[in-house]
Amino acid sequence: MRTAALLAAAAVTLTAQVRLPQYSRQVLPNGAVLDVMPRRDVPLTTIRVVFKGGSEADPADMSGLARVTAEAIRRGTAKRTQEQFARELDSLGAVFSTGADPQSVTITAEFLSKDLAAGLNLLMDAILNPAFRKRR
Amino acid sequence: MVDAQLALEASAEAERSLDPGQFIAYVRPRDGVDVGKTEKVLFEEIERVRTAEVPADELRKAKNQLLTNFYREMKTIAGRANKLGSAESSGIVGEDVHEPQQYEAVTAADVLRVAKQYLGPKQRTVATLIPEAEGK
Repeated sequence: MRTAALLAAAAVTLTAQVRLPQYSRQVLPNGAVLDVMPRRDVPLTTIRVVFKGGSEADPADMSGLARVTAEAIRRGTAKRTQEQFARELDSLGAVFSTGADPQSVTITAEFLSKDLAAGLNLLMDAILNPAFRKRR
Repeated sequence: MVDAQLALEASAEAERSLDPGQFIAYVRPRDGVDVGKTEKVLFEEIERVRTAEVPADELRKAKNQLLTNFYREMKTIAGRANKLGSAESSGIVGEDVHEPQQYEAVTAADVLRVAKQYLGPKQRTVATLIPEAEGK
């Protein structure tokens, strides 16, 4: 009984310790919500962009549209071919991934914090100017 | 090599170990491409690194990729433990784990010097793996 009580006490303490680190939240003029959680021990920046609406919103006759759209985002923009886009990501050592689940489409990019401007430029280009070229 | 449609994949890595290790270059030719041809292109590429300094942007790219890999591992407790364990087992004592500084310190002249010293034609062993035809 005593052991059980001790374990329970330990569990309570552990639970109290596990907390989401502090982050800031702001709503941009266009309605987008920006959450920022700084972590200073590793000089990497990860940006995760989440859009509401995933495969649940696929039209009845276009099943898979959300997934295909997410996949096509990394295949070139109005300014960059797929190869240029891949080459620039590669030169930053960046990771770029996209995906769709039932209720959202997510685009994630991670790069060295010193390359924030270049990494953000690529991410924004992919999201704002996807080319969706037919050949690909 | 991949761009020239000769190979599906081409990579190279140096083993990190306490004892003398190996530098391994690896190519997976596309189906139907002559293995001798991919080998020739690979050797030409190695020869280029042995005869002239790598361009600054190529060196930067390699460093960015090594740095992001290092920091990605440092993001988690498991990754840090793994890093310390492999450092110990390769003879590097805890305090000497300064990979980022070590990567940044490498110059194009260093790459040329090391390539000249270690990547000569007479120092290499070449293995070609060709699967038997199906059913044999």
